[in-house]
Amino acid sequence: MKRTSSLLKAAALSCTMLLGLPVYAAQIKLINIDPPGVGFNDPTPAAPVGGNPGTTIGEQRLNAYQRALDLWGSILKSKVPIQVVGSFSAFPPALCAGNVLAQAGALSIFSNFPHAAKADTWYAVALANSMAGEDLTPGQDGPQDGFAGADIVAQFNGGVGGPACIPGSTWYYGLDNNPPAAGIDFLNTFMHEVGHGLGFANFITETDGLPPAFPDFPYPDIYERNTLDISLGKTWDQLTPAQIVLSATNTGKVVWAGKQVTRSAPDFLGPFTGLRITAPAGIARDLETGSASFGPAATTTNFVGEVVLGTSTAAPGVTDGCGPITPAVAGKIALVDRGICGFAVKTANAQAAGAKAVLIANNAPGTIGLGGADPTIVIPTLMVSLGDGTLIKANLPGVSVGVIVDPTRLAGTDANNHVLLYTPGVIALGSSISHFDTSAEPNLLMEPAITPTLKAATNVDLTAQLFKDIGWPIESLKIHRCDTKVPNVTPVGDIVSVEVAQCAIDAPRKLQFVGCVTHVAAGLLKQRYIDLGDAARMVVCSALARKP
Amino acid sequence: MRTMQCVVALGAMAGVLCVSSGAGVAEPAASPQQKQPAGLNAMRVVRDAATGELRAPTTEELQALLAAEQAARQSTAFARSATPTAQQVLPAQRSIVRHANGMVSMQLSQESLSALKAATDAQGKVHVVHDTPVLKAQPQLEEK
Repeated sequence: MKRTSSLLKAAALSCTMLLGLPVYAAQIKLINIDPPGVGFNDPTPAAPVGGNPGTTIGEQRLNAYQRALDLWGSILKSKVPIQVVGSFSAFPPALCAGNVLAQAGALSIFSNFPHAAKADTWYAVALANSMAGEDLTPGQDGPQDGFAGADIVAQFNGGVGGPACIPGSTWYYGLDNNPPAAGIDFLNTFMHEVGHGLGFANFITETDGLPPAFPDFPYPDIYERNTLDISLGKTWDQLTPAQIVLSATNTGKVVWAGKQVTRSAPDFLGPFTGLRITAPAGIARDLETGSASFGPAATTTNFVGEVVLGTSTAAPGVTDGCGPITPAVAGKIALVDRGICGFAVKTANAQAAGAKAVLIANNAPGTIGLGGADPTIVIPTLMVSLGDGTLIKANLPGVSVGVIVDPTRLAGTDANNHVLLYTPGVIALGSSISHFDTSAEPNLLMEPAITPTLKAATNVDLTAQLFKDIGWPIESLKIHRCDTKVPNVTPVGDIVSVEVAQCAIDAPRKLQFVGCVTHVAAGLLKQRYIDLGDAARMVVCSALARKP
Repeated sequence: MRTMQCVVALGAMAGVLCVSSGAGVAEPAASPQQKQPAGLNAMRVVRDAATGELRAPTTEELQALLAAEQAARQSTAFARSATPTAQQVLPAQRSIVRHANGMVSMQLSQESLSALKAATDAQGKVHVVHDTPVLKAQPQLEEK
């Protein structure tokens, strides 16, 4: 499925759209609210880039924006067009000063609508429309109605890269997920944001735990019904508000309970890699960690051994690592406390005392990334939480830790393959719970950071499975006017229509096209994503296509 | 700004009324719960004076950023923005309608918006992050 470059795939999809092949089903429409000459209508000339054929900035923005909408539209099924209120005008200076790139979200939620899968449950409007089979807010999509009938708002900062707006950065409008060093991949970013608008989010506030329309309609949303606290053994719709507040910071213990994501997790996620206490046996456990921007990355070979407290040579009770450290840490993993001085300073001091690696115990719940720079540092550093640091100290001497790769456990899941949700030790409104956890590997589209390895132009990982869990029907692959009945997204997130579109480029003659689609079908069959009948329909549909 | 707010508010109100009339008899909108201000949803970064790199703000810096953004939203210059911002598309407060067929709808408000921000790591690579930035292998926070 990954035999061709993403650039070729982007170009292929563009060409497919030009040929008019109806590979998309659910219509997701942009309501462009930019005035003439700016944003989506910016006439500034631009060279085509990364499969985006636009020749002005505005055209490229429209192409990339619509591509993301089309990709989601090719995966999710709805006979009600999804309306997205969008703009690409420059944000006001204050938002630029805050480095704001985009703002997005669903415009409304519905419960107890016709054909709702679950009663007394909130759904994002686009999903509610799909389930109902009708527009629940007909004819109210324009500004005269305050866009009340639209489904999603998604606005991007067209001023990025200007002298007063995140200078040095620029949006990358290519459709191939291949941005230059300073480029921000718009397609990945927008796919993520639209994902929230389509229902990848809860509508509760984690700081009070109250449902969105409390007290009049104290219903949970469909996302909460799939959010499981494994410490309590209950989903969030079964918890009290007070329990939800606590659960929202129960790091590593809140998972997605939906069957589709859980079933697909082993096919997508790699083995768990992390830091584990290996001795004494009584406290053996995996630890949440934060990695450092300086020194080498922690590995199974350079971060394993006995932990020794990094004590100051000047003051025996001081363990902040900000001054010379006693040689007791030589050949060991030095444990020091966060605070007073820079992280790199602590590691440099431990290194000078002969330590092989450094653990920094946080002074607050959770962990953070360790910034700083020092090219002389040659040993690895990790942060552990305040609680874990305290646990290790309480058991010294005799504590050993090591970075391990556990093939029996998936990265980013609990022991039952439930994918972890992002649950930092401090509630981050807008991020906590409404994302997959950052421990997933490979990275997922709906983690709280848009990571460079994402390839949303061709793959939406486990995100489509989560949409299935909340009730979205999955669109089938259509080749020209022929419905193959094959889901257009595989359990691991590959978008099948992108592969077929690639065939239209790779194999311009009809027989070649049929052969190419047959090859795609065989690949899906081999992975057991489809059965023989599905494969046969793909081949027949490709043969019936008027022109590839 | 007030003009725009009025337009949006009237539009939102018209939308609610349309839903109500379309569904037959609608009960008066319930009083929505007041929630956290929109600014708290956003991830913010500051440029470190010493290193020149973007990093997560301290509590004091975050409060200053929020105050500045709030002031900007209320400024005349912001109101003259030709394109309505997401905040202006969404109403300031949630509104709820119970429809005659038992359906309940809620128009979301500004605090429901998800914001993305740019953060630059020590290697100069730009990252796109939500609230608390947790970046794999390329962290951005520096102790001071």
